[in-house]
Amino acid sequence: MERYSFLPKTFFSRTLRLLVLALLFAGAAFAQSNERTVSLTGYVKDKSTGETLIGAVVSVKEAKVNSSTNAYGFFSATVPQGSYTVAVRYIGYETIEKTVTLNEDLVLNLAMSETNTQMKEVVVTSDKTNRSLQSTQSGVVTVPMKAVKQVPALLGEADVVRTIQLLPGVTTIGEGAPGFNVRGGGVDHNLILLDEAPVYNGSHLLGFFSVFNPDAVKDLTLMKGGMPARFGGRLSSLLDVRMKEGNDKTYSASGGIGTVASRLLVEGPIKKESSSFIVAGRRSYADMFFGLFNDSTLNDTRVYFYDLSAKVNFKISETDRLYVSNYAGRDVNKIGDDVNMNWGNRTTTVRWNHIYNSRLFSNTSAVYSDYDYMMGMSGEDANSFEWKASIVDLSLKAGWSWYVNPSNTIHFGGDAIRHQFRPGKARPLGSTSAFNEIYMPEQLAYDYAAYWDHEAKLGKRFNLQYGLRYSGFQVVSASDQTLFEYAGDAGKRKLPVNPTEYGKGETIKWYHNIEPRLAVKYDLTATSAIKAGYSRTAQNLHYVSNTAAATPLDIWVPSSLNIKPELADEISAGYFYAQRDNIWEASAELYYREMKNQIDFISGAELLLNRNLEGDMLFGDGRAYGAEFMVRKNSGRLNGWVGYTLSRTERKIGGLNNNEYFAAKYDKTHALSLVGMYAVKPRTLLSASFSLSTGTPVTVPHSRFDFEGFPVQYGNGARNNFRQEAYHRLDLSATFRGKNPPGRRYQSEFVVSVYNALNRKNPYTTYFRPDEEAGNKTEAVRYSVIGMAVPAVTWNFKF
Amino acid sequence: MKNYIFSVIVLLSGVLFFSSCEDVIEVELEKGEEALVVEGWLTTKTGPHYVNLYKTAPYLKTPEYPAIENASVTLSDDAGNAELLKEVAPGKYEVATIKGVVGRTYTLSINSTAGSYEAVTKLQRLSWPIDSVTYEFKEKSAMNDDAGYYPAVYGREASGAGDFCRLKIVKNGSLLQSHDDLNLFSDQFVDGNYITAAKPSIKDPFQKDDQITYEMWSLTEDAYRFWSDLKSQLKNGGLYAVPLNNTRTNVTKKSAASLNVTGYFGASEVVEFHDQVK
Repeated sequence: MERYSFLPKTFFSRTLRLLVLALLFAGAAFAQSNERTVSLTGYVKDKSTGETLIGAVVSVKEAKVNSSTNAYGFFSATVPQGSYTVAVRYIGYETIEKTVTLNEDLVLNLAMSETNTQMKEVVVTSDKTNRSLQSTQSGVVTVPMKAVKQVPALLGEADVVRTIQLLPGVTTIGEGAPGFNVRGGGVDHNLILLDEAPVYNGSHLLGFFSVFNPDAVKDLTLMKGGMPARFGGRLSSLLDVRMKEGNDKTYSASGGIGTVASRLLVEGPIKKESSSFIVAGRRSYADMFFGLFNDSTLNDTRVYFYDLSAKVNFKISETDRLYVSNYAGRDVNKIGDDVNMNWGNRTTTVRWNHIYNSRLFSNTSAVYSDYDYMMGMSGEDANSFEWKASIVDLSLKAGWSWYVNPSNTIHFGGDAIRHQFRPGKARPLGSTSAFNEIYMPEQLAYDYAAYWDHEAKLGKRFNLQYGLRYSGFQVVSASDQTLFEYAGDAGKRKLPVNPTEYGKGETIKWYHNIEPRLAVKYDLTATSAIKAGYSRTAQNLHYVSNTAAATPLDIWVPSSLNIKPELADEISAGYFYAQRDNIWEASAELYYREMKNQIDFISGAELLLNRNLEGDMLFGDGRAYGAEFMVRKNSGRLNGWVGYTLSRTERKIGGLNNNEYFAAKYDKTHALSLVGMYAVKPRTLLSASFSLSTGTPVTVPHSRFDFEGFPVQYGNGARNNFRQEAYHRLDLSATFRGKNPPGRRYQSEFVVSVYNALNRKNPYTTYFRPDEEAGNKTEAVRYSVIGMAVPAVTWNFKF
Repeated sequence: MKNYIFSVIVLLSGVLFFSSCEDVIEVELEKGEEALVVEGWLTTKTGPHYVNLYKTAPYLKTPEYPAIENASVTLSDDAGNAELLKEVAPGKYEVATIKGVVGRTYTLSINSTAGSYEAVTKLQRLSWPIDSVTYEFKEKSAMNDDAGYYPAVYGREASGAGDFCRLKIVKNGSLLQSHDDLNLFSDQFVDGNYITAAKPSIKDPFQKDDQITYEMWSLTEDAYRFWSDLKSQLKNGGLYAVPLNNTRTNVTKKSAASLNVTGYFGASEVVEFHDQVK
C-alpha cells in the first residue's frame, strides 16, 4: 500500500459525500424547473468573417440567465415562455441586443461586429462580463490573440507560449527551453491541444518559437490547474488552442514578412455562409544568410522550420456541422554535407457537431497525430547512420453537453486513444559504417477515459462544478519480448531481474485511476467572487529528459511494468474582482499541489538507445505551492497587466539529496512580470514587457582533483545545490499602422522590436571548466542563451 | 553513436543561437568535505607504474593537494602475487614487481591516515587494435577551427560484446592532453565489425611530417564509465547541460570512519601504432 500523506484519509470520503450532496442539489434544481420552459439556442459569429466566437456571453436579461458559447460557438439557454431582451457580449465586439418572443424553442444565430477601428488600436476592448468572474474554475486565463500579437516578441515573431510565460503561475527555465512550467509542473505535464489534437513537441528551432502560427489562432485558453473532468491525461495544465475556421463571406489574405520568418494566410467561402476554408503557412529563412559566408560548411547548412495548417468546414444541415483540419510542422536542419536532423508534428482532426435538440449538443472527433524525428550522419566513414523514431496516436472522442435548465449543464463523454511508440531504429548508412542495426522495441498502449462534469448554479450566488474522470491505461506488448524488473541501490544504475515473457498482443499491465474534480464559486458582490477547487490528475505518458533544456530527440515513454502513472492532487483558492465596466480586474490565488511517481534519472544516465532505460530512472514525489497575484487593465489607451508569483517547487526522489526535498530545476521563488501597451496615437502603439525572477538552481562542485592531468569536479552529490543570479529582461516594441480610410480593405503595419533591450546576460546555466589560458586553473562560466539585445523588424499586411 | 547524436544537437544549437554567449563569472562555492583521491593505472607497458594518494582541494583555487604519506598500500593479483608498494615521493607509491597481464584481476588495498580502502579491477584484452590510419586535409571552416590533417583510424573490433577502449595520441613525443583529445570507444553498436575510418576528436589538426603514436588502452566497462563521466564534465555546458555528475569510482571504503573516496585504480592492455603524417 502506498501512503499518501498530504490530505487526511477522510478527505476522499468527504469529497465523495460532497459530490452526493451536489447531486441531490442538482436533483432539486431539476425539480424546480417544472413550469413551461423553452430553449433559445444558436451560434454566435463574427459578422464580417463568419468565424464562430468562443466564450461570448448570451444573456436573457429579464430572466437573468447567462449562457456562454462553447468551443464551437454554440450556446443554449432555457427560460420560461415570454418576451425577452437578449444581449450578446464579447471581448472587442459591439454588444448587440435583440428582442425576442419565446413561445417555443427558438434557434437564433447571432452575428457581432468588431468595435470601431479607433477603438481597435487598443489591445483589449471592454468585455462587460468578465470571463473569470463568470467561470466557476479558478486558474483559467484567456489571452486575447490581439495581446499575443502586441506583446514585444523575440525576433518579431509573435508567440503564444512566450506570452503565456508572462502570466503569474507560469515559468520557464529560460529562452531556448521548449515549453513552459505551470504551478510546479514539468514541461511534459501540460496538455497542449491544437483543435483537440495533442501536440507532443510544441516548439520550433529547439525551443525558440512555438508551433502555433499566431495569424491562424482564434482562441487561446490556459487552465493552470483544476481542469474540469472532461480534460485529462496530463498533470498540470491545459493549453487549448483553437484555430480559425475561415471566412465564409469573402476571400481575404493576411501575412507578414519578418526578420526570421514569413507568414501567409488565405481564407474564404467554399459555399457562401455555409462552408469555408483557411490555409495558413509559415517558413523561416534565417539560414539563407549562411550563403553570404565564404565557408563551405555554412554554405551547405540549412536550418529552417515551416508549418502549414489547412481547414475546411461544412454546414451539412441546420443541426450538423463537419470540420476537417490538418496541421503539419517541421524543423529541418542540415549542417554541412554530412549531418541531417529533422522533426515535426502532423495532426489531422475530423469533427462532427450535432445538435440533437435545443438542449443536447454533441461533438465527435477522430484525431490522428504523429510526432517523428530523424537524424542522420552521412559520409565515407565509420560514423554514418540514420536514426528514426516516432509516436503515432489515433484517438476517438465523443462528448455531449446537456443544457438541462438555466442552472444545470452536464458534460459527459469518453475517449479512446491508441498510442504507438517507436523509440528508435538506427541503421548504418553507406558501405563504410561500422554500426550494426539497432532497434528499440516498439511499445503500444491504449488509453481510455470516461467523464461526467456537472455545472450547477445553486441559488443566486453559489456555483458548483464537480466531476469525475475515469482513466484506464492498458500497456500491450507490441512483439514477443522479455521484460524485466529492476533492482539495485537507490540512486545507482539498477540491473534487470525477474525476466518475464510476453507474447505479441498480450496485456503487460493495466492502470486504473479515478480523478475527482471539484470547483466552487461564491459571488460576494456583483463585482467579486471567491473560488476554491480540488482536482486529481493522472498522466500515463512520460517525457525522458535530463538536460537543462529538453532536446527534440528526447523521447516519450508510456507507463509500463516499472513506470507507474504520475499523479497530482491540487487544492486552490482565490479571490477575483472585476469592475462593473470590466476596465480593471484583479485576482489573488493560492495553490498547493502534491505529485506522485515523478521521474528523475541517476547521474550519468543513458537516455538514448538504452534498452534498460528503466534501470536508470529514479522515482519520487513532488510538491509545489504558491500565491499568484494579477492586476489587469483591459481597455483604454494604456492597458496590460502586472503579475507576481511567490512559489516553491520541490522534489523528493529516492537516491537523490539524502531522500530529502530539493528545489526543482525550474523553481523560482519570486517571479514578477509587467506588460504594458500604450496607444500613443490612433495608429501608433508602444508595448513593453519586463520580467524579473529568482535565478534557477543548478548543480555545482565544491572540490576538485586531477586525474592524469585532467581537472575533475567533485561535489557533495546533491542536485540543484546552487542558486544562479536573478533573471531580468526588458522587451520593447512599436507598431506603426498604415492609414486605413473607411472602405479600404488593405491594411498594413510595421512592428519594430528589441528583445532584451537592457542587453543583459541572464544566466541560463552555470558550469565549470578548465581555464584555457591559465594552465591548471578552473573557472565558473555563465551561459546566456540571449546575451545581447536582439532587434527585429516585421511587416504585416491584410486584404 | 550516442556521443555523435549528442554532439550534433550541441553543434546545431551553436549554429542557431548566434546570440548566445558564455562569460566567466565570480561565484562563491561552499566548502565541502574533503575526500581521498586514488589515482593509479597498471598497464602491460613497461613500468614502473604508480599509485598517487592525496586529498581533494577547493574547486576554484589553484590546487594544492595534501599528499597522504606513510600509507600501507598493497597490490595483489589472482595469480598469487602480492607487493607492498614503496613510497618514492610524498603520496606517490611505486609498483615495482607486479606486472600487468591480460585476464588477471588486481586488488589494491590501502591503510592510511584517511582510512582503509580497497579497489578491484580486471586487466581486459584490447579488442580494437589499429591496423592503419589515413589523413584528410581540411581547410579552416565553421566545423574545423584550423586547417590541417585530420586522422581516420581503421581496424577490426574483436567479436564478443562488452569491450571498451581509450585512444591516447602522442604527437612528436608529447601526449595530447586537451579535453578535445579524450577519445573513448564502446563496442556496443559495432561488436565484431571491421571499423573503417573512425575519426577521433583532436583539438588541433596534425601538420605534415608530424610523428604520431596512437596508443589504444583497453578498459573495463567501469573504467569506461569513469572516463566518460570525466569527459561529460569537461564538455558540459550550453543549452543541454546535464547536472554535475561525480565521476564513478571503483575504490570502496573498508571502514565507516574513513574519508569519502574518489578517483580510480585501473588496468589496461596497451597496443601502439606508430605513424607519420604524409
